[in-house]
Amino acid sequence: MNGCGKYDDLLARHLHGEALAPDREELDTHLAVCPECANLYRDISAIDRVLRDYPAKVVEPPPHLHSRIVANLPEELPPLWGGWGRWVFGFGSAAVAIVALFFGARYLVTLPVERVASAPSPASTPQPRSATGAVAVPRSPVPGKPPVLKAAPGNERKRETVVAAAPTVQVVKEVKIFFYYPPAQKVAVTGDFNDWNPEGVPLKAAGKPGLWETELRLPPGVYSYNFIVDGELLVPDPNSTNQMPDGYGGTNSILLVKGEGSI
Amino acid sequence: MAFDDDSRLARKVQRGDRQAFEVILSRYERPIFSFIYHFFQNPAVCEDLTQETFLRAFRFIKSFRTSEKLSTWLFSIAKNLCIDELRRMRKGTTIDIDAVDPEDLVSSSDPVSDPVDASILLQEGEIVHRAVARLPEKYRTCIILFYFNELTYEEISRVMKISLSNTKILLFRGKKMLSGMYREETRKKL
Repeated sequence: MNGCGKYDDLLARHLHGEALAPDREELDTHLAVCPECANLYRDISAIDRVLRDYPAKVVEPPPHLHSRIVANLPEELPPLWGGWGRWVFGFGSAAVAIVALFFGARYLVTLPVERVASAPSPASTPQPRSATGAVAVPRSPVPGKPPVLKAAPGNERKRETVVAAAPTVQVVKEVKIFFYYPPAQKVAVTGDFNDWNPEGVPLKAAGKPGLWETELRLPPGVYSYNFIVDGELLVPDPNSTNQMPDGYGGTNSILLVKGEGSI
Repeated sequence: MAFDDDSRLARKVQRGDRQAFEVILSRYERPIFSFIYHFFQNPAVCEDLTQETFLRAFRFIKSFRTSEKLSTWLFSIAKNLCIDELRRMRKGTTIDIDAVDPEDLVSSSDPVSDPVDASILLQEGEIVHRAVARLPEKYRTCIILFYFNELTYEEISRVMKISLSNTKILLFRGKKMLSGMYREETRKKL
């Protein structure tokens, strides 16, 4: 079957019912002269049929499993999703630290960058910055909507208009995240950027005991995030100077990744 | 529509309705248990991992976005737990089974020339089913979700967080590996 690799793709498309007529003709012609590919086609078709007809697809769980799971459910949703304050106190002595570092924008493409809608933060509440330029600002109040920067009342006139430009340019920046918590066996970060994936993006040991780090590549924008400690505990970032209610009684930490066009 | 209904249930759970979670559990306990069963084919592991899937879903329900499908979210949690467990089991071994080239499994034996006989379909089904549990994890996940849980390509791509085309490639290669394993098994019996 040496040299028949290109027919794999045709075969796959044919088996998925997606091969066009000319592809099917080409495949048929090849199968007629290549017994090995013909056998492979027949074998895979047979496997497909055996799997489709497999009689025990649905397996009944043991009767006690349902009640066992229900019995092990917490009485209420874990309070960790709310009450970040107690975690701040809990972690206070551990000197929890997160720093979003901007090591300069690294553009994946070099096309002209479209101006991104942004506005200065409310004048009455100056936004804190980390030494490395991370700015925390309130997230969009509408859950599930992409975060946008919002102008403060009276500052709307400064808002820039979003102009659709083609082609769309995807600017990605590297954001380094640190988290200091010696008792943790493993730490991950989750948030808007990965649809709050329960697994999160794992942090790795950063050299110093108890210090964890990871690097995220994010387009400019405002992100809500929290840490997952030992796969169990969802912890807002106590060192983040901006926290916002998550709408469910809990708290999210907020991170701004600045774009070149941001004011 | 089940999708909308699931979203409503999930929203209720997010607001603290424990009963709503029990409805979700009743609805998805069987498919999740089946998925884990086919993945490991070991009932003892299945119970624990099914329980952990739902406990984790409950713990993280507030992270569930009702714009997505609850079933794919649950399968995604179960899949991650299965892979974690598999890696725990393999700890200490140095072979990365995902690195196995499908060609190595396929071209290792001569093709069987006789057509499949319907009278031994059940036996063949068992041979293939056992072979599924020997597939590298990503192929195994894909095959199980497609054939046993009967998810669509799109749903599988969401569960596995891969593109639609990669989903189809994994399915094809998984079947290719299975056919190689099947030939091997059949040859041993001859």
